[in-house]
Amino acid sequence: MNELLLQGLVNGIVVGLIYALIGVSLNVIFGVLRVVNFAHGEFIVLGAYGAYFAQQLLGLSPLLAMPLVFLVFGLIGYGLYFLLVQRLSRSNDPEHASLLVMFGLSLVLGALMLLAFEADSRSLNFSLEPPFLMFGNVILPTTKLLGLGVSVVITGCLAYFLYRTMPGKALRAIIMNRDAIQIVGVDLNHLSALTFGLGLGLAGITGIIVSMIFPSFSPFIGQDYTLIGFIVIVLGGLGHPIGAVAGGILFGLAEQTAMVFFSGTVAMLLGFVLLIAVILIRPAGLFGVQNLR
Amino acid sequence: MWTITKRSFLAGTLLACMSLPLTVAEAAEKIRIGMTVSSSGNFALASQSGVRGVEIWVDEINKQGGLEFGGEKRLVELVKRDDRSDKQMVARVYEDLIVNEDVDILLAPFGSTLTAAAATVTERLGKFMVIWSAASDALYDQGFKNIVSATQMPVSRMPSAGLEAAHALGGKKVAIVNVDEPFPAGLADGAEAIAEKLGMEVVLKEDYPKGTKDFSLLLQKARAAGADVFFPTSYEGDLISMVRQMRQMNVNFPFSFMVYASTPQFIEIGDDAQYIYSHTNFHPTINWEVNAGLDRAGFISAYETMFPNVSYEPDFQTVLAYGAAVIAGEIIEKADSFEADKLKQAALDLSDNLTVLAGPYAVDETGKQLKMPFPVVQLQPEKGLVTVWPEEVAVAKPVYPIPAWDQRN
Repeated sequence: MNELLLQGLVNGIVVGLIYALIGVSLNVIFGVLRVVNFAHGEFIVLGAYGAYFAQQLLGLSPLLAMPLVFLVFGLIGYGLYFLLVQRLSRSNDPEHASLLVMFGLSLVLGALMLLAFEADSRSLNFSLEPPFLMFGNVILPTTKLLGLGVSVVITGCLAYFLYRTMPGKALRAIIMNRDAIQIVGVDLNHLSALTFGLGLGLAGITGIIVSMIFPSFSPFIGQDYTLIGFIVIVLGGLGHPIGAVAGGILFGLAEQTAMVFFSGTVAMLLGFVLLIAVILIRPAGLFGVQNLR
Repeated sequence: MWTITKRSFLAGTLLACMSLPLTVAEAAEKIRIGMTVSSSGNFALASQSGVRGVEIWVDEINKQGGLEFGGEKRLVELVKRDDRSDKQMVARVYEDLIVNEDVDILLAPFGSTLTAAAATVTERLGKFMVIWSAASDALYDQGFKNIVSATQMPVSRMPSAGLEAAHALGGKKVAIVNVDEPFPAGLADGAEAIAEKLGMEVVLKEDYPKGTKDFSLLLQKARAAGADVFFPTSYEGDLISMVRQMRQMNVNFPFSFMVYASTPQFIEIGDDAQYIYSHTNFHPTINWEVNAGLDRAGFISAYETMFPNVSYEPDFQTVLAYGAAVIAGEIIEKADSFEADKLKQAALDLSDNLTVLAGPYAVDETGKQLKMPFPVVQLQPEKGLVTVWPEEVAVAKPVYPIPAWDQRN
């Protein structure tokens, strides 16, 4: 049991960081634009399909497909901002309006994926040698380690961008006070469109990483990822770009260690109990970003 | 442009009147079999796959002059109605088929939900119904007297062939995992009961919620429990993830049986799909010694002749429905009556005496199908998907134990 518990703890951290990556891009979009992106999971699944077809048609490995998918999704996101998101700000209640619009978009994307790719589950043809590494009695698949590494690099780059560069600081300033930042001459529209592009680009890359680690995907699983994303950002703090990392690790650890002692169904239930407990104790999440609005 | 003169009109009317009694007489002599098909809704695809099997049987029987009934050959007429995958509509239409269409016997609609709705009507109106696709155990536990599942075994029995094969090969400890949904959970409960009946020890039985993405800990729990038979009953997406993660973590079981591992989508994942055991009832290597109806080659030929423009090949639904229609015909001939109790008795008398395209037929008093096993198949290098169990239809020896991941080329 001790061996399994140790494995559960390690697995919890690894899976938690992957969950965190799912939440990070969702949180960037919510933090800057106040857009509740209910279509986040569908964009992640589209990223996985992007890697699948890049492999099938261009012979690109999933790792090489990442920059391509990031670029394509980023451009789509940039355009989509002007098509969908910008006009939401004219609504009386932009957050609720965005929730409805994005929920509709998620249904549309799910249906389009079903039409285009059919209902079959797909899997990336990807493996690494050696397939796993042993750390004492703990076994870790190299694919997971690779995904973990990429997640850490992406999160690190994002943190650097947000905390050390001028556009990143401007983005954080939007999170703090979107009216004040316009007074100092920041082009809010352009920066918002960039943020939406960045969020979607990250979602595309996330799709590739999760399809390497959780190997099968189909048009139906977008909502699963959206749910994970929302759990993670609610735990970490709505709108806090890095809070998602803490939320992801916490949720991953709770889920995976509970699974050592209970069934997966009970483990997920305990994960939700943790979520409710955090909301009750710290309604704004661990990083309490809501207070900064 | 046609011009109808008074003379031609009178001549036509006279001809029509002369032929009318003859047509009515012929129709009355036909054996009328009623069923519904779903033109739309969730069950449309499976339902329409099934009805093509019934139509092949009707054509085949009528080419032979019909069924023996009352000392003479009588042609068969299939009376089809639409149910739109709607259980309320099924109840109304089955009543209409019995009361207004005066059908002699009924074939069930597709699936447990619609079949249960139809059974309440056929039971109330005292008609006999032959089932081809309802797998819910609950349906057969409700005390319906006038039903028989001709080809579809109940969910609780579906894991039997896989576990019997595992047991025969030396498997002793079973780990059963399933997604928390009705059908996979029913399969898992059935697998647990069958394994215990076979004297195997169930060392792990665990469910997980829909949407679970990481199975690595679950796989390690199964390994830590000492399982030599791994028996997940989930859908193919989860199974693909499981088998990939088994390789990634070098988790090996001498016998891994996955319900959907025989589907083209699973096989498409490549080398990781090798050696996994699964089951199916329609595959080029499955050829039962049939003593009623067409064999596989005859069935394929009949399908191609009758449905040259259908974009779908026959699938297991077509085979189940065809087999059920064949058995319905045998029951009618044996009973020589359309009374429900006599048909039920004939169905019981024929139990263990028929083998159709879908397999051997045996039923109990509740109408539950006891045989029709889904033969066990295994994907083997260079051979592809081959039938390995039971021995009557096996064409290759099972590869057991499954080679460990790190010992494969």
